[in-house]
Amino acid sequence: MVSVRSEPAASPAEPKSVKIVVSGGFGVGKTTFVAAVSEITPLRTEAAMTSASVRVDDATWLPDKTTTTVAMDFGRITFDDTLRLYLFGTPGQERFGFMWDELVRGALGAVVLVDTRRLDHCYSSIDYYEARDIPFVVAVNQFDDAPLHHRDDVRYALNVADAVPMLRCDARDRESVKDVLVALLETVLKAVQDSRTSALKEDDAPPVAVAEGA
Amino acid sequence: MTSSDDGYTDHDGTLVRPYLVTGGRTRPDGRVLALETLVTTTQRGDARSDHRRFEQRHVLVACREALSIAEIAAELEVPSGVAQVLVGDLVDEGLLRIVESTDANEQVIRRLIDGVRAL
Repeated sequence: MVSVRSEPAASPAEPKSVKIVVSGGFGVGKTTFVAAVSEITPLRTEAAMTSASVRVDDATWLPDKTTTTVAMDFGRITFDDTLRLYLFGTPGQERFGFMWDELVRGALGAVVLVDTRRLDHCYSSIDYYEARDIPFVVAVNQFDDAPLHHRDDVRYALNVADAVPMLRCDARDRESVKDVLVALLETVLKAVQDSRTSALKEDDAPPVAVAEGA
Repeated sequence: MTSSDDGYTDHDGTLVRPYLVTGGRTRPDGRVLALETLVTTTQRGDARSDHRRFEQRHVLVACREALSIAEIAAELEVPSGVAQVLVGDLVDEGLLRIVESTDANEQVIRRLIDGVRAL
């Protein structure tokens, strides 16, 4: 394959960052999940109304609107100094939907963390990712005191497509969290490969079809 | 932006005050800096960090090693919107540089898969 790599003229060990978002309802274990694999103790940042569609530049809006400040916990994994993965725990409830576009923009994909005792708390996350074709996996955080449900039953209750991986996990357990991340990354890889394949098919299309669109 | 107008004083200072360091702006001007966007201090920024006011100096020193907007916000204990504005200003002055982001190509994703497995 002939491909010309256009490397930026930067220092060779320049780090690149990628992002995965971990969403789910309050108390579902997002921060625990992030902490299980992060090389740093999860940090907290707060996003204010800056991403809302209201006119935030007008300071007179601020006093009312700052009450919707939302805290996010995030962690980091560095791979060989040149690639960094950030994991952002995002509030999953519908009322925070206004800020999702900013949080999710550029993400490789998402983990939707589910507590089977509060299934409804993840509906809006799933709807969001489905509607935008963002690769995601569903990870059922198995709390000790929660009843054990069959995966198929959870899938049926959440009404997610068979193509979406669904795993049981323990957010406290590093290996378990790694499994979830690998499942997500494999889904992302497949999505990238599929989009490349379909792009190639378009290239191969007979010239007549191309001419029609021109 | 110099007036401390009365709109601020009646309300919870902890939420409003961070925006004073940004001159009241809650949005960087004309640039989108994602939470995971990495920035690093330029040579010029390094040389001038001593002469900047506290929070700018803090950023310039911290970013000698590339840091994300989210990390800067956590470090300064300000909302991410404030960090975006501060960083945007320093980038405009050539004291910070935005690290070019990578696209999610197959090679990157395979490296991530291998990397996570090896954790």
